[in-house]
Amino acid sequence: MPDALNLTGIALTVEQGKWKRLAKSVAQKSLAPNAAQVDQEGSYPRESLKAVADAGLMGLLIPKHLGGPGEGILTYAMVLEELAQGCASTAMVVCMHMSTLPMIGALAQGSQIEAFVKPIIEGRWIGALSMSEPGSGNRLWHMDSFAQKNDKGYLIDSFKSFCTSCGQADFYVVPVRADDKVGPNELSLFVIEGKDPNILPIGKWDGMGLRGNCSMPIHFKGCQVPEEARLGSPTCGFSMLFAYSLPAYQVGLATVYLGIAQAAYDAAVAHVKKRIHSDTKQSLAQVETVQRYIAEMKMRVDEARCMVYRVAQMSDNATVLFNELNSADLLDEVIRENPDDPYFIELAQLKFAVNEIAMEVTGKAFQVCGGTAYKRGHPVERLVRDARAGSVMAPSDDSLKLIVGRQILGIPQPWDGEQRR
Amino acid sequence: MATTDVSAVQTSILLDSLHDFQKTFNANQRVKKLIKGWNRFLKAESTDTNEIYTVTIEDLTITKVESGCPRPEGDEDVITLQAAQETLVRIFLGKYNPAHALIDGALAVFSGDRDKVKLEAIAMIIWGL
Repeated sequence: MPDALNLTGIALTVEQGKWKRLAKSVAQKSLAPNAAQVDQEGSYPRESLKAVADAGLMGLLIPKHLGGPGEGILTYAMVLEELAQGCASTAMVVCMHMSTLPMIGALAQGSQIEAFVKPIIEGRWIGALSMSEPGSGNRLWHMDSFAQKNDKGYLIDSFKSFCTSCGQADFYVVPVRADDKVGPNELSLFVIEGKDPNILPIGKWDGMGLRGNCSMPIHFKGCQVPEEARLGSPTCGFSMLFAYSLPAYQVGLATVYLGIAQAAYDAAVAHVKKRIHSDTKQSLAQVETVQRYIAEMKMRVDEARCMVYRVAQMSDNATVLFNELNSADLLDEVIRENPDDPYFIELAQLKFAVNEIAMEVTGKAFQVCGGTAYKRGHPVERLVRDARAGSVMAPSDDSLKLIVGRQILGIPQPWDGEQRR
Repeated sequence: MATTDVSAVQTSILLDSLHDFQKTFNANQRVKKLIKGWNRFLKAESTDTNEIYTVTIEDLTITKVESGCPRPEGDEDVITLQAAQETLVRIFLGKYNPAHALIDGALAVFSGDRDKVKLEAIAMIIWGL
């Protein structure tokens, strides 16, 4: 049914509209046709990522003063939602790449702009954020590995539990302790180029869903990097991750699950209209139970989108404030004093809220499509598996719910006191 | 007369909160880092009591709190905060985040965008809001 009244309630800027339409076109023409094969083979979506890069979307969050488009988290969410509808694996890779960009944009200076920023804007570099360590599990704020200063720069020996685009990325942003003397939150941020022969991917990614994102353990085994590989000051990592990476990461994850939910809903609607019972000559759409399922799915997808856009807009507002504090060299101390600010709690809540919706909507789409969706290779079968990744991907939904609950109830957070250890 | 007395009491509440703000502001070293090169006139207009006070921020310090506004209409260095007296008092005592007041429709701010961000950052630094 056409939109007679055009009351979507969100007025995009001309630029936002341009990026969203571009992403939709890329998703439909390049990502969606490859999605089934990427899933079946568990192959890294190199071709789809090239299409995203060729469209100029890979540098979306690089600020204008560094030569990038200078778009914010809201625009990014609109773009990623479109990509995720085409191929969730590709969108997840893009999400992890984008999670590095605000930090790089805020910290890159001098030769780093030419070395790191330019290839990203030109679409030649796809990156990954490599954080989680075996000792910390999904408590991403805690690192055990550390940098060792030497006369050539720094030696990094760090084992990371899961890293999207493992062995495929052109660069990795790797947070480690600034040295072996400091605490688990005194983090340095290093850009390690993917061509470093001492980067060792461990095993092969064979996940239940999101099968194209190559999310394996990775060992940066004695990677020697120059001084210029470090972004910002020696211990800025914790606050920069909170202020600049977390919004793109959490909103990005939620948006991927929103895209999955939308794709499942669309597939279900198309299926029930097309499937005609030979005895009654009526489509599945005529069944009241199906009608109710479809309405419930629509409502939940709309809820998810409202939440994503709201927190994305909050993130853009927060970024302006963080930039102001960063320019006065106050960001680190302010973030360390306020890691459980309500804004960060909103970010935590967003991921599991949307992920739960995605699981519910894909589940209902599965139910509506019946045996057809139970067959390997059906889009809804793939989307059910893709959505399931969200609840366990770090930080897991259970960890995030603890954070939200503790904040509401005034109970100390898991990271309280860690900075002093 | 009763009306005069009420007015006098209301005036002192807002003025007291501004003096309180002046002390907190001037004692905070982080605020000084934040406002380097930022000299402004912060005009507080109470919409229900019609009081107007202006706070002068000059060389990293609030140097003056005065009645009325010494600057001409349209001066770009003037940041105007308009709200009910109680709202303004709560804001200047750190009991109401000005960003929330803005979202709640309880406060109107007339200034450049950068100045709005600066005010929000000051509130965050002083009161951890």
